Amino acid sequence: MKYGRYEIIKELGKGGMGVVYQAHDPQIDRSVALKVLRVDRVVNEEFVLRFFKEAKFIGRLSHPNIVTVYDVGRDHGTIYIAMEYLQGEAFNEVIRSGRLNVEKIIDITLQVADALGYAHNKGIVHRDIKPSNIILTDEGGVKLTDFGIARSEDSTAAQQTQTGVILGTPFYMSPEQVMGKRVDGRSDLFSLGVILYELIVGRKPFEGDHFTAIFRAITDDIPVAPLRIDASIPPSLSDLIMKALSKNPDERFQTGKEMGDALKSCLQIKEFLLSPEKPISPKKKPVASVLIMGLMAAVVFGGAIYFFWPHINELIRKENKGESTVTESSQQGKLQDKSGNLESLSSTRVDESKPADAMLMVTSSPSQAQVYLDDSFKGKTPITLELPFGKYEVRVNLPDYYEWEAQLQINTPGKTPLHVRLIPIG
Amino acid sequence: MMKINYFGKTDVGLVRPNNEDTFLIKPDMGFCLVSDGMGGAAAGELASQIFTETALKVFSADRDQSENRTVEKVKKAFRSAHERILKYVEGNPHHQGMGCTAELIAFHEQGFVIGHIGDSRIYRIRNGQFKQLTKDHSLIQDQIDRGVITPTEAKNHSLRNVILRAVGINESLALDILMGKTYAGDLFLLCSDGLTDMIDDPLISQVLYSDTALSQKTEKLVEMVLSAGGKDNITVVLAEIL
Repeated sequence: MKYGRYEIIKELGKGGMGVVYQAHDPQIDRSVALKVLRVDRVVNEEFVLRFFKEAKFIGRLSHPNIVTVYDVGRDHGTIYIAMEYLQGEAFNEVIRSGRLNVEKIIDITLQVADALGYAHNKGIVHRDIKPSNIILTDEGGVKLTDFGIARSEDSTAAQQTQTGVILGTPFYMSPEQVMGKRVDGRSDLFSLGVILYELIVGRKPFEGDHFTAIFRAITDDIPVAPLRIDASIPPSLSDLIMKALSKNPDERFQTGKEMGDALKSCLQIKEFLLSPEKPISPKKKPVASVLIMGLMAAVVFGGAIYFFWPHINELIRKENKGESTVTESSQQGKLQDKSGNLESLSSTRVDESKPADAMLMVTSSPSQAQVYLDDSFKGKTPITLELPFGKYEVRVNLPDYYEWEAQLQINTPGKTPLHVRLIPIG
Repeated sequence: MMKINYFGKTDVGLVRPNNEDTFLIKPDMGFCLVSDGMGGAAAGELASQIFTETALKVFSADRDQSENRTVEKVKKAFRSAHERILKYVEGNPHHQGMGCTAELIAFHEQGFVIGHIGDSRIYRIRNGQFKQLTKDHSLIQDQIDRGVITPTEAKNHSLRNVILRAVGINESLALDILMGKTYAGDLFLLCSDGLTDMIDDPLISQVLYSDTALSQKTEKLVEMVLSAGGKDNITVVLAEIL
């Protein structure tokens, strides 16, 4: 099988946009990585032209930490791109194996920041910085790959009307990407900050059980400062990471060089670098603590029964078990179907909306915590929510505090107070 | 059993090479549906067809139109279609990402049951009021709800095509079931986003309010989308309670 003059040797990997092969270029007698776009991703001629135009720009990038693009072409009804063939391992694989020490982590981040600074100066934004796009070569080099040619968030009209779900990982997206705004190089630096946080702290800064929760975390939540999780992390490195993760691009590092310089100064802190290995494996939320908080809340919580709910799985919604109820209002519960599989639905009576049955008054100490009811953001504490009777999942969230979560059965008319005493992390 | 008039139309639009939308009207079984496939060319078409065929099978096998049975049938149609698509993708991994949105409305003696997943929509006109009954399971809807973006910003959102739920995508199925009563004169509109992305609600409602036959209303809506550029497939189904 050939694409243009390139002879396919073997498949290296598959993604939402297409397949990457190892191929041979007989003209120069060398191996290349050949990325072939899925035929159905080639939307129209406008898309093809834009792809070639962007490939030309990226082909002009020449940096030791950026994978070189050699050629682009069309064949078999699609588009291919020939790139430098590397032997090495993707960063995400290396992270998983936990073989990196802190000095190496900072060094790799520094090289990526440098590469990004170079690309940004040429007017090119990567738009998809994540560990799998950073390759550690067998020779010990760091290479950034997959510069944003014609991504799924492509702005051509035809692409935009194509309904789709995000199949990749959204963990590294910047707030402005999630909010669908225009992005510049500072978005890439935010993503690099997410990677650095994950490597140093041992868990991702923005997590969630499903896409909606992750997107919300990225736009709304301020992650716990690394120093508050591990006191051995130097304040300068902790501050650096938090600066990179600022919601407002103006408050982040403005250039790759600026971020690189800050990273260099962290390399000077020898005591930290010589300290035992930093955690690379994910840390789990201490469930016991959450339970204690729930019990404390119960003391001040009247008019409703509550019980704890394990962390909700992927996009699970709940079903009203009492469908025959005359009440035509929105209620939710949980369904386990006969086959034992968790199914989820939300049942709603839509016609004549009934006045609220109860008022749930949520307060917290400290206040200004975010309140989610059945995964839907309701506002910040103190807040009064008018609700029909039913079961609800309530989450109360404040940066630097353990999340509080419980399921409530509200069946008492009038006011139902709920006070949540949040416990600080660390 | 109440009498219901139906009419539906689908059009490939002016940009896409193929039509990934499907619709089905079964007056004898008391239901109709609209499904918008995704996952690229053949896969998208197949996904919406699987949904349609599955629903037809489920409703053919059980003609009991009581409220409880209707709810069960709607759930079963979604669950079975979901499982069938997942199974198909398992055997055809290159079709990963294949799935569909789906709107199904089934009528019983007292009212209606809607099953909804994705960003296709169901509207209703009752007593001169035009109301969107379903809520889009889309990223932009979530952000609008939380006040992160305004509806105006949503129009230019680069991820405005991203939906958070679909049939055949995630391991678990997250289905919205909506139930209500029906009254003579109620008019339900089921449509794919090819209509609502191109035409604003007030214009849609104007067409629905017009004193014309259902066939003319559907023709008019499709025609308006095509005049506006027809960037996506368009599907419109109307159901009027007599």
